[in-house]
This record gives sequence, C-alpha cells and structure tokens, in this order.
Amino acid sequence: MSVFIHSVGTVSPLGSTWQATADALALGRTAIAPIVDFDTTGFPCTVAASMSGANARADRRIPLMLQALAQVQHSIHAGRIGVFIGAESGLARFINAFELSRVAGGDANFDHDRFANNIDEALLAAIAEPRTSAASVADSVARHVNATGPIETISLACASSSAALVQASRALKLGECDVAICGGVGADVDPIMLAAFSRLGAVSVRGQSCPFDVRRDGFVLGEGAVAMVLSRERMEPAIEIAGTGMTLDAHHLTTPDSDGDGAIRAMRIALTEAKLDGVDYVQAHGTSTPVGDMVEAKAIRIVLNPTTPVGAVKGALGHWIAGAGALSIACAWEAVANSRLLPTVGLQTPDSEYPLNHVQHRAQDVRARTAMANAFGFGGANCSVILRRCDV
Amino acid sequence: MSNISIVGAGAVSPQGFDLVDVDTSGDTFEVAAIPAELESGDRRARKLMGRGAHLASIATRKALMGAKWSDCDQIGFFMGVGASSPGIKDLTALLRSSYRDGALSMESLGEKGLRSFNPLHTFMLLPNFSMCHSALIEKITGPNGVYFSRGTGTVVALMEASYSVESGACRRALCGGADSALHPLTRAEFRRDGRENNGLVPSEGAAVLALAHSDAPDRISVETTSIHPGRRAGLASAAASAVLEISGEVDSCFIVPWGEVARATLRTAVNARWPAIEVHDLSLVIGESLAASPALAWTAAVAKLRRSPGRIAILSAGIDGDIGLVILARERSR
Repeated sequence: MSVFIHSVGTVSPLGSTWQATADALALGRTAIAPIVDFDTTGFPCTVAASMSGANARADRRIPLMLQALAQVQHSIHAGRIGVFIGAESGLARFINAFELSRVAGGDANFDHDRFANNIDEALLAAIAEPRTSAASVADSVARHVNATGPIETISLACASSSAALVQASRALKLGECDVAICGGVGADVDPIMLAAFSRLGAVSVRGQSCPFDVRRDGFVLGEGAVAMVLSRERMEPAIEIAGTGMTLDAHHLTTPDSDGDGAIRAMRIALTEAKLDGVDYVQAHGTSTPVGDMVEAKAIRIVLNPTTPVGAVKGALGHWIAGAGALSIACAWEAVANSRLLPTVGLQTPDSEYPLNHVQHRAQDVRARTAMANAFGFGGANCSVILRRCDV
Repeated sequence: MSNISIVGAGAVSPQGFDLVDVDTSGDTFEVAAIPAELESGDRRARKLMGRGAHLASIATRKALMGAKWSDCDQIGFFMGVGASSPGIKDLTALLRSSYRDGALSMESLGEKGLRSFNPLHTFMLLPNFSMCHSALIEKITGPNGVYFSRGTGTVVALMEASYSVESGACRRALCGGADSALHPLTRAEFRRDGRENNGLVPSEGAAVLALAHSDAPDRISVETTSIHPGRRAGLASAAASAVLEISGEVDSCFIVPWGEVARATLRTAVNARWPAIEVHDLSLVIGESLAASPALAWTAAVAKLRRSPGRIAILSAGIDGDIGLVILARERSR
C-alpha cells in the first residue's frame, strides 16, 4: 500500500508559501540576517533566519503552523483526519522566564524566594493559553480541521518532523486515518534557546550557515513551518513516500558517531524499503557543523553514488530544529514534483575531505524521479525519507 | 492470542523501584532518593539528565535486566515523554544575572546571564533526551520514536513498539513513559487550569516494557492497544467506546484517571458493563505522572499477571482528553 504527499505548505522568512520560498531558494537567496527582535549583545551568534516581526515574548509556533496549514487545507478531503506534528516543548523559553521574572519584583536584589513561591501567580496573571506544551501545536491544528483521527506530537529534536511523516505514513497504511496532516515548526530564535545552543558551542560564531563548506563552524537558528497533506489516494503529481528508515546512534548526545553508522543504517533501511540502489537527489541534513556535515558526507558517499546531487537548505533558512525534517522533505518534494534541485546557499568552498556533488548557488532544473531527505537529531535519532514520483 | 509479549518490565514510582503494587496505598507522590546500585550511567551522564530522563534510565535498565537483554543493538525504543527543562534554580540563576537597574535586561542576559547558564543544562531542554540518555547508556540503536505525552502519547509508544516487532522492523523493542509533574512550571500550569482543584495529584515516575515475540506458554501478551479520542466527542463517549472494544470478559480493570471527572467517567463506563468487576485506581496509589502514568499502570498489571494468570484491561485518561486502552493477558494453564 502506498502513501502519497498531496500538497506542501510553508511559511518561511523567504516567503509566505512554499512556491515563494522555493523560488527564493532556487535563486540562491538567504534569509540569514542580524537578529533585531532582542538585544544580542554578548551572544556568540547574533544572526538568524527569523520570521519578520517575531516577538521574543510571544510563542510563534502555533501561528506559524496554522499559516502553513492554510495553504494545504484544500487537499483535505472527507474522512478521518490524523495530525502528526514534530514539535518541542517550551518550558525554558524566554516568554516563561520573562513572565516569571516579573514576579520577582524586579528590584535590585533579586528575591529568589519570592520568585520561587509565586510562579503560579505569574502564570495565572500573564499567560492566557497553554503555551508550554509541545502538544499545543498539534492540538491547534486538530481543532482547526476538526480532526477525528490520531493526534500525535513527535519530539525527536532535529528529526521530529521527519519522524512525524513516518508516523503519519504508518497510520495511513494501518487505516488509523484516511488523511494525515503532518509537518513541523521551528521557533527557537529565543534568547534562552539561543543561549543554550551558544553555550553548547553549536552555533556559528562567524554568523554564517554554509553546509559542507570548509569554513563551517556551527549552525544558525531559523524559523518557519511546513505542513503537508498525505493520503492513500493517488493524485497527480503522484509523489509517493517510497521508503523510510529510523535508527539511533547511541554514541553521544549531540555529536554523531564519526563512522556514520547510524546515518548509514537509516539511509540503507529507507533504500531497502523503496527497493532502490540510489536516488536522484539528496536534501542533506547539512547543519554547517564541523563534525555533523563530515559524518553525513561520509555516509552519503558510502551509501549512494558520489555523483548524486546534494543540496542543504539550512544554508539559506537556518536550522529549524523540530521543523527541520519537514523542511528537508519539502525540498525533496520540490525535486521530484517540480524537477528543481534546490541548492546549498552559502557554500563557497566545498570541503574536499568527503567530496559530494553539491548543487551550489542556484537550483538545477533536472528531472528527478527519486529524492532522499535526511534528518539527524540531537540525541542521536536519525531519519531518512525517500520520495518517488510515480508517473514518470 | 497475540505473541507480542512482555518479556521484561521496569518501573520507578513514588511506591519504590519495583513494579507498582495496586494493593498498596501511598501517601507520597515523589520518588524517593535513588539507591546507588540502581543508577545507570556514570555521574557525569546523570548530571546531564532532566528528571524524566533520569527516571527513564533506571526503568530502562530494570526492563533490560528483566528481559535478560545484554546486547541492545537494533532494539527498538519508543517512549512517551513530557516537557523538559532545567530545574527552577537554574532558571533563577540565569535571571538573577540578567537584572540591571531593577529590570530584566537583555543586554545583561547576553553578557552575564549567558555565562551563568550551565551548558550541561542544554541537554535538559529537549524532550527526546528522556529517551536518548537511556539509548546512549545502553547502546540501543534500532527504530525509535518519542511522543510528547499527556496520556495517549505513551499509548502511541506501545502501539509503535508492538508494530515494529510485528512488522519485523526489529525483533525486540522497549517502550514506556517517563515524566515528572512536580516541576514548578508544570504545577503552575495545572493550578492555572484548575486541575489540582479537580483532583489531579502531581507525581512522577517512569516505566518501561520489553517486548518480543514469544511462544512461551506462560507469556504475558499485549492483546490490544488502542486510543479512543475524547477531545471532540467527550470523555464519556470515548470511555464507552473503549469499553465496547473489549471483547469477552476481563478479570479486572485498572484505571488511570488524571482527576475526579476522569475517574467518575471511567468507573461509570466500566461498571456499566461489569457492575461487580474489581477496579484498581492507579492514580489513588501513585498520583498522576502524565507521560508515565499509563506505563506505570501496565507494569502494575504485569505484576498482577505474574502472580496469577488472567486478562486485565487498562484504561488511561490523561489530561489530553483521550482514552487509552491496553489489554494484557496471560493464559491460564490447561
């Protein structure tokens, strides 16, 4: 039984639709710019691909996802609708810290006891909606479309929304729903999240996202949302989810195994399920981190033909964390649905240690029948998804 | 009978470090200090863990020991988890360093607050670490899933684990839930929503099942796993639907209601079908631990089935508004 992607909706700093976003990506445009929504003095990285008008005090996940959803709702036909969203929780977001800090009185001597004893007063007074729950995004989508099927929130860090598509596909095959909305959202351009990733040494001090470039030194945060509609019904263009693979590294919480074992296995499992030896395009996870990109390049060369074209969207749109996987899948969808291989923006000098056939600067208009999207998350979860155009 | 069987189980709850005993009532809803001999991973690894991750690591180790699985390569791992965060004192340290002239200063946050933010605590920000820490310690490398759970996400974890073994994606799988409802931010959320006034008793815990195919005559099988949506149809409708799905008779029912309304709804649905059936209310024994609650109830059912064969239906009603149904069974000797 096959599952097909019917439509893709995206809201990103490069465009308010997938068409606009893809057109901008194809031209090599980048959304990475200095952060203006909060003071970044003292932060190691002061750039991001933020949604314009973003407010550090507001939770942007739900509005972004609903904007993406609006673009695909026309694809939702009658039947039980399932919702599968990749999202993370927000307990430590700045909005919470800001509201909590007000309770401490704000005087020169920070009153720890008062702060700790009056947390509930702060939340009661300040936060009208349940924003700390990761499930709030899926719940909002479900209410919006009157979903009566499964409603799931998948939290696998950077692999969350790829795993959400895997979950949606499985649910459709098992008849748990008739239509599935899946996707993911990233809204981590937040002072505390930026502080956390900065302290980990994971973000680019140079302020550049350049996947697979010899100068790469870390990722740049980005924001946006992707929503997709899936069903068992074949429509034109018939973009099938041909294969998926999920593995765990069990190596390190943030650094992949340098042998690339987890990534290699995930890609091979997806290829085996798709009954393929290779693909026509890879949308890499490509975070612009020294080790991550090296491991992925090595794995791609081991599993696939080294001449396979490779693109990495984080060079232009940054790292959406929980939303990253869905964005990569959207880029893979663009390859097979519209014969457009999106480039790796920001890549100037490809690292020669594990050379790949990079799509650089501008998109390539090449007919691709199959495309792979990789997502390798913090914590060691790996997810590879292969899409196939069935009417070629 | 399904031959997806529970071949091991581990639990950590306010009751202790064994599988929950439904016949023992409790008056504490916080996990006691963890004995050193039960800890998994080294001290450095534990420093990186949030509460849910820490509890999950112990339950995972116990499940693996129970199943006698020493090699965890290619084992599937599926967990329901909750929100994750550093402790409140860590957030206050950040804020304390970020005050200037009596107000929260973004500039101060960048210059001083940043330095007070312990990078180790970044590892507590992402919910999937509740699963990944255990995977790292035990070298678990198979198919996996982490589902944010306020009840039914944990049931999804069991469904996925069962499916993964059934479909051949892996031969063995671990699944369960881990969470703490005792974090001040979570408790504040409950108070804001009036949940504690409606009978929610915040608690914490973790429970993990080890699943595999088994033909052993005394195996405990996962007979049924399903979710009955209640968010739109209402809890009563979902509960009735869940009870209707139970074919044949069961020896007892375990209910896991988050509060009084859920408790009454589940009891009504169960008693409507079986007026005299034995009903065990896990929430009265160990409180409400969100993502961990359903899994703790399953392990309590495992403990009961190990003592005597039978068929147990476990109905969970978390704050997400849906009902989870799991039926575990152990055949009686012929």
